[in-house]
Amino acid sequence: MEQFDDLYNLSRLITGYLKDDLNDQEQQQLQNWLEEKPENRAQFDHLIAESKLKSDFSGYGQTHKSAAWKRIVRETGYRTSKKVFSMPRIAAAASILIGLSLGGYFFLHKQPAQQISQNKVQDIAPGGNKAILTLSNGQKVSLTDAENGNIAQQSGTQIKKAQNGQVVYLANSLSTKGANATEVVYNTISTPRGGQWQLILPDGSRVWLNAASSITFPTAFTGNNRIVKITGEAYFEVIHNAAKPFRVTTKDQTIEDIGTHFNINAYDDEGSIRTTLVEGSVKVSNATGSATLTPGQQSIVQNDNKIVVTQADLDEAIAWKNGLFHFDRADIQTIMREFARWYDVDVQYNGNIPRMAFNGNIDRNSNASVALQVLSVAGVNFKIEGKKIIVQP
Amino acid sequence: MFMSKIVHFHNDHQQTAAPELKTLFGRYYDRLVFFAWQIIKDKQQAEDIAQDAFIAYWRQRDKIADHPTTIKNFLYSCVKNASLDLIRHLQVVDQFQATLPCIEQGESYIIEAIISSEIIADVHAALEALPAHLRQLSKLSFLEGKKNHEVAEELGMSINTVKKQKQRALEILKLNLNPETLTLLLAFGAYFLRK
Repeated sequence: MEQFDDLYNLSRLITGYLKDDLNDQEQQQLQNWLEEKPENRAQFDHLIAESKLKSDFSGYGQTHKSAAWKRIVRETGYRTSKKVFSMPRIAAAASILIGLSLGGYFFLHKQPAQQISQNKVQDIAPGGNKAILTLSNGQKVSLTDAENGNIAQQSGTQIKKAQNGQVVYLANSLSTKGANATEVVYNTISTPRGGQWQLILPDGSRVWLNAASSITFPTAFTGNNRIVKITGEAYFEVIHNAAKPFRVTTKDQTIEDIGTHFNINAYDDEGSIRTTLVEGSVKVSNATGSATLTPGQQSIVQNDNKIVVTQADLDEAIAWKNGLFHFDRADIQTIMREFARWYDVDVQYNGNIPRMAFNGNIDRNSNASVALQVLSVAGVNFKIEGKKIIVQP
Repeated sequence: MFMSKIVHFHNDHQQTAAPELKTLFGRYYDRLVFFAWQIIKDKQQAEDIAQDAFIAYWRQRDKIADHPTTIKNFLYSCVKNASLDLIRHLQVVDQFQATLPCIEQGESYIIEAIISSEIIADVHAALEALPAHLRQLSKLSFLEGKKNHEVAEELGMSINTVKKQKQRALEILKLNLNPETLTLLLAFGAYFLRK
């Protein structure tokens, strides 16, 4: 046991073994432990024995959850906030017909109450769930507006929008399994400024797209690896498959997943590509080299193309996915770039804007006026004119 | 970058640094109860201990790194310590409690209990994620090991429908479970693929 930090590590290795989710190094660690002494092997065999697992099942999950939760709330004074989005774990049954599916879920955002007064204050509503599906033939389908049912037809495949915004691919007949099955078809889902979207790729991996972003992917992962391409910003929860590595390419770099949750910010106007690892392991590569990230680390690639690895502010990196703007010593320009994407506005600077740094959080569901009011405590003034925000001292 | 001043602001009402307590509860409650139960073999006390762990986490969250593994380890540690404390106490008041497996086997039993909880939680989550009509059928078929005609009777459907829906449930589970776990799951309903 000495070579393990603690027993959780061993637990993780054995669970990882059962889930076929170990990298080479972890496999070696487990192997070393198994060979260390016969008792370890015996314990391992016992753990994964069928009869034990079966009896464990009968005792699992029969808890009094609502009473338990009430007690926890009572003792902590915890206030449940609105859930920003739901994370249903699975796609619809329909997808299995030909074994490939793509689910696009709406983030369950609570729409802010519409301003009742029309001409009192000029305001701008926050972004919402909006996306466009572009088929391989260039046909564009608005996922936001599409009614449930058939939305498009593509080389022997029907594309349907199911309830809850899911997009499902159905083969018209079994014949498509034959000759055409090897033909890889690429689709793109893109969000406009002021839009966001959540989807499930054909392999079950989950993707959150931030505003003004896109993802291009094959409707089936047929080859030896799974490659998708993004622009803008996206958060991934990848279903690990050692036999079919998952790769995300952006303009200048490739990220290879080793089983994992990570965020990529690759907006052109941000001047750098930042890859932030929340869980698991990823390898970031570009023309100048590569780096492997451990959880909590961020790689930054700027103009010189060098990959620099730093400790990440995880809150900041994935705040958008959790429905927040989170700023840590951010300057006004950085904040306004983010606002421009989310509120779909242009930003104009008048006069000499004082240099200052902002720390804090703003709910992304706020109207622009509310978000700006929070910033104006710093002595900067903002004016909303139509689809433009004017910043002045 | 030189900044003349730093402005702090908050307009959200939550402690945003910490993950939602409710999310953690949903994710870990059952498996922590199961972990505690394996040690103390008392369901009600296992639930109390798991609840205490969430309460302790919330009170100390400022000192705990906001990282999924760290939080999970903290919760498991709380449950482990509380369970062992309880047993030590019981040992004093009642010598018979000394026959609990974790006393006989010590640390290795704790390790097994954690791994068991993790595996079971994984498969359970995959089943829970099935559409409602397939979930019930899968529980009866795979977990309780009922035969097709028994499931058909219980759910009031034809045997043919049961067969079809089991096939469908399996396809979905395949998407969501890792191959090894799926193999284990299928081993429970040993005759699953037979007629």
